[in-house]
Amino acid sequence: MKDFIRKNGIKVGVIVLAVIVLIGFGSVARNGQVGAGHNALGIVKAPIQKAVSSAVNWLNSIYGYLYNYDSLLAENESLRSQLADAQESAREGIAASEENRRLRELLNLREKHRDYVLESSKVVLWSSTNWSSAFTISKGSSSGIELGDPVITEYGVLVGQVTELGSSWATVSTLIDVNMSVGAFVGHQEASGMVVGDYALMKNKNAKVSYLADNAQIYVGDEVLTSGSGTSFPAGLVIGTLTNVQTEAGGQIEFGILKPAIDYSDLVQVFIIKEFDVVE
Amino acid sequence: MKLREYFTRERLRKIIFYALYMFIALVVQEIVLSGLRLGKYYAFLLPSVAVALGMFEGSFWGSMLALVLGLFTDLMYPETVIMYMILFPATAFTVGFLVRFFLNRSFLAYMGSAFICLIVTGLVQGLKVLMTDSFTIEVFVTVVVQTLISLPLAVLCYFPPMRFRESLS
Repeated sequence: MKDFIRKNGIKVGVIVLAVIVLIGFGSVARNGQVGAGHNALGIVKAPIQKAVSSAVNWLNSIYGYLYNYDSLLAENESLRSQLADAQESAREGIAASEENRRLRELLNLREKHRDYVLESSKVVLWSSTNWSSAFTISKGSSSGIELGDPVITEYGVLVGQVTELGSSWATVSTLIDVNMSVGAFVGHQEASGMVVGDYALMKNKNAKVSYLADNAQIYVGDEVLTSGSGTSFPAGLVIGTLTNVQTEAGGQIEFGILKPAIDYSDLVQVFIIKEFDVVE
Repeated sequence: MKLREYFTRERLRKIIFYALYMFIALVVQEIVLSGLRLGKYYAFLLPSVAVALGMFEGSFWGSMLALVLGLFTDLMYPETVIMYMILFPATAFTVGFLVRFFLNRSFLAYMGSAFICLIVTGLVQGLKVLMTDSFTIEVFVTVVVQTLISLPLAVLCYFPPMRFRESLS
């Protein structure tokens, strides 16, 4: 074998080369149609090419990641900041829209009650005590607010009364507070009574309708409005509805359980009635 | 000259520390705890602060500091005028007295005192409601629940003055 290669090696080499060249020419000579040899080569080459290509792409991506990391980080930060700004604007928009809605409602109320001089204020903080129901508002005596001023929502629903006053803040005790009492009319018959705070009911965000007039008939579902008796509250403000009618321990005196017309946990903005016409 | 002698560096450090301690306690009570309710009930942190003041500063200075705490607490709550200005110094004075003769300043003694003080504070608060409102068991339920949910927070009030006292000695 060795002798054969030594003697005819060059010849064999030339012949193999010639065959390869011929195959090569043969494969090109069919108007773009690959020949069998070329095809076989391609079949073998394809997966290798794929693997190499994938590896190169992977290396490229790593290189790109390393190379562009800083710029991507900066871009990410910038986009985050833009997103935060956009979210802030959206939030402000929602808050402004809510405030706008409240002020529109208030406009309706003002048209109905032209005698009201109102001051708008935000609820700042609820008192963290178990013994009263009160919150702080962001305006005080410097805005013309006085002790005892009634506080309402934009719908004309009674919230409570100013019980403490600073120059730029005030404390509002809500209707369900133990120390609150408001003259009221109950139901269509306008039975007069008093809405008074009761500790046990306060814990359930309710109040008591008591001191009802003799022979007054009250029913579950009756609407309770301010009577305007005294000079603390204007007449006709919505207080809430009766959810239950009970009798005192002696069984003689009837009283109602009142559910306020507002959910105190939803309060954001309130309106203080600084002046109103007292109807005798 | 006398004033300068009186306000030594150590005393000034104490004043600053306790002013900060009480300020943080008031802020936590008013701002943090007003947003954290367990069901219908709020925790009440400040009686434990009065106990800590009496325990670590003694009857006199403890009750003086508790008087300031009581003043700000009364200003904070609309339903009270001078209640905490009496209650907190009395608490600090009593605890200071007990520490002088009967109790040590251990954590257990503090927690025991805080527990009793929270119950007493709750009962005084409830008494005010019972005086203006009809009798209701809800008052006593509130006293018990308020005490129980305030005790874990009382733990936090013990360590700052304890560590401060250690750092001085």
